[in-house]
Amino acid sequence: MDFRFSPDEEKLRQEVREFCQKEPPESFPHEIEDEGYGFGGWSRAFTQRLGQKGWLSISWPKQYGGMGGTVMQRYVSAEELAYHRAPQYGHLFGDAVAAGLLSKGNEEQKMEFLPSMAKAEILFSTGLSEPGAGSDLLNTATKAVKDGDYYVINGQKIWPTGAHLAEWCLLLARTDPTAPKSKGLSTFLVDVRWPGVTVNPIIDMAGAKSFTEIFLEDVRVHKKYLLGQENRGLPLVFEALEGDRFWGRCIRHAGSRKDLEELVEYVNDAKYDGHRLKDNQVLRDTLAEIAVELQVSRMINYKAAWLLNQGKSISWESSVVKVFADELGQRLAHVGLEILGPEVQLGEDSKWTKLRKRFTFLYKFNRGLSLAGGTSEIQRMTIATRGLSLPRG
Amino acid sequence: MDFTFTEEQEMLRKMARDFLGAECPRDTVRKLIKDEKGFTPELWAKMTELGWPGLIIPEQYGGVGGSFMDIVALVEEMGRGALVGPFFSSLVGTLAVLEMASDQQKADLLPKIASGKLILTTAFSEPGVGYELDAIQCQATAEGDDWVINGTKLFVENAHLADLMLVATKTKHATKQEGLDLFLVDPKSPNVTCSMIETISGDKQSKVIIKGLKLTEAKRLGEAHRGKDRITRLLEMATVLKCAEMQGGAQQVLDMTVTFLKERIQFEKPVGTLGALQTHAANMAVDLEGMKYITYQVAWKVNENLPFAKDVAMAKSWCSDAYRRICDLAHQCHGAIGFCEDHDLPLYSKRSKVSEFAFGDGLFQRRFVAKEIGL
Repeated sequence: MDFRFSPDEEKLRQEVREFCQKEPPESFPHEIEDEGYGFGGWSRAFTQRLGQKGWLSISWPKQYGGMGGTVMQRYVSAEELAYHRAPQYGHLFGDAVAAGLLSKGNEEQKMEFLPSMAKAEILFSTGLSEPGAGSDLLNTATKAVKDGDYYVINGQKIWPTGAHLAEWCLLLARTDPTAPKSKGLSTFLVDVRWPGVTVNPIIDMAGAKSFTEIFLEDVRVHKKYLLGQENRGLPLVFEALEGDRFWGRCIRHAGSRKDLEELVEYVNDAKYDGHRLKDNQVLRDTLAEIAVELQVSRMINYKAAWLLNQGKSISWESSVVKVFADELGQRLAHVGLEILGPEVQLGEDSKWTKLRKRFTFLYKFNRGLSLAGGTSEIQRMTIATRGLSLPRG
Repeated sequence: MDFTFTEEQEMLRKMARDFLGAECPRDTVRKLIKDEKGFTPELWAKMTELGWPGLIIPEQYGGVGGSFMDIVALVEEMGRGALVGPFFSSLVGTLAVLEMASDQQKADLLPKIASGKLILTTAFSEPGVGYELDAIQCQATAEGDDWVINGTKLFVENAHLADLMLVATKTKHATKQEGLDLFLVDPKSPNVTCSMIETISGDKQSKVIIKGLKLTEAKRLGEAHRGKDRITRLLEMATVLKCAEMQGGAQQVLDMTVTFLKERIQFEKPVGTLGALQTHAANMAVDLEGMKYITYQVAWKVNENLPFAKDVAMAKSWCSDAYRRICDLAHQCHGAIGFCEDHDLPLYSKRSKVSEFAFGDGLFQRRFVAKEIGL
């Protein structure tokens, strides 16, 4: 066993850390504020800056604009960015698409998309869920009907993150309505600026505008934008979801460590009802417990990153990563609000206003994290059936 | 980064699993728990043949010269097999000798430990004192060149079997920070009274009363009155091993539960198809994944001689609570059959409670973690 990062990985971590200190992520304009996943908010300007550094394509092959590095290097850079609350939202979904392009795309597609994705000249969202196909993706009803060199797509997608801020979308649609449900699905690369595509942001219960719905009406997509084989879209989607579960949550511990540090700072400073908060034993125990859980989350994440780095499947390990990170995030937000107390509702201008705002937002927004990308219940089903080989119900 | 055991460690694990399955199956464990001694010399002799008591002892003292990670691999399997007996308690004593003893003491003791002739145990806790070393009341008073020991120790594992007991004391004129020592005590001395305590899981723990026991300086380990840091480190190492043992046990609990869920038919289908039970099993798996890697990480730190105090407190906090949760859910999954004395599950679920307290429970560990995160 060895839990050290390699010298290359440590070097990159140091570079990212210095970069974040020199060019603070918060100094870049944001389209979406940090939502506390651990991967910050959405900022095209910052993402493009990362592109200039080559850090959007660390593990891609060089011929496609990549750095030719390892998945573990990419992970280390993401972890360091997370601690600095740097916006990684903008390229996170793109990276899942890039993985799909690298494994299933043809040469022409790779050359068309990857180099410009590496520079954040184009950003991607993913359109999988539909009103009638949430946890049950096989129920996908959006149709793509072949018409000469084109597919004509009609339907509706819901919950893509940032489709209103990205140019392209990886879209799942049914190409063979007569085949068994799992056999007639295909994936397409769709420019959301094309005629017939309408993207509307959805305002969530935290007041954030990161999710969207996409309406597709007679959208003509050239067959060169079919990714992978026709009617074989599902494995690609599962792979993308596996990556999404992992990359979307694998750095939560690093971002949340900063939240915990700020809470500790507050507790060391604040008094309530005439008592110093730091003398409260229950509170000390609760914060220590969060620290323990962050360490557990970190080690679970490292394990999955290590598997992924060797090109191994993380089909259920990614669910462990996700379920743990999401529920830990909710506990942290709850603990934060408990500590900040009823005063959290005050809007007055104290030095802790920012912290109050953050935790109030986290409390509301974290509600959605155990739903997005597959509910915790679906993750547990995956762990039970794929991880433990229990029979499907 | 590497999450795997070495090939040799994997061989050791397999050998241990096979050996314990054959020589100390769960039926035997149940018999040993009811047995007054809780131990058979035959099993101990076989374990000695495999080199286990000397696994961590350097070759120059007749040991195998294994690493800390080797011991972690072995102890994990012992947890999996629900092994009872003095191996673990003697191992903690062995670590004390390795960490704190003089060259002379090592030369005297280690070869005998490695050859299975000397079984050790350690005595830290006292009535009203857990593992907070500053609170220790057991007293060593200087009398000329000798020491006189007085005090009561609690939860001393396998004191009835041990040839030598390492007793933590404070010394008379000591300040709170200093003045802690470990003494080598003969449990059979007329000044020492051991009486067995009734325990949750039937493991053998004793209350030990020491009255006016006179010991020479040669029976004291380490530099006089400066033992606290060393004893702290020793307890932390023992805690890592306890986590490994718990983790092995938790793995077995999950495995038996998954098997049961696949085989038990109700409503004309395996109960493992039911969502509620799948959720239980998944929660057990998540808790166990956490136990594994938080334990391996700190074990690796010990192995590499890196600072690990905070890591081990976090690991034991997690393992204490996670193992208990895993057992609770395992019982729900098994239904009534797991409630029977002859079922394997209670061996583990009762042990999980004992392990929770060993070397400090979650609350104890988190008091330390709270300081470490800056509170």
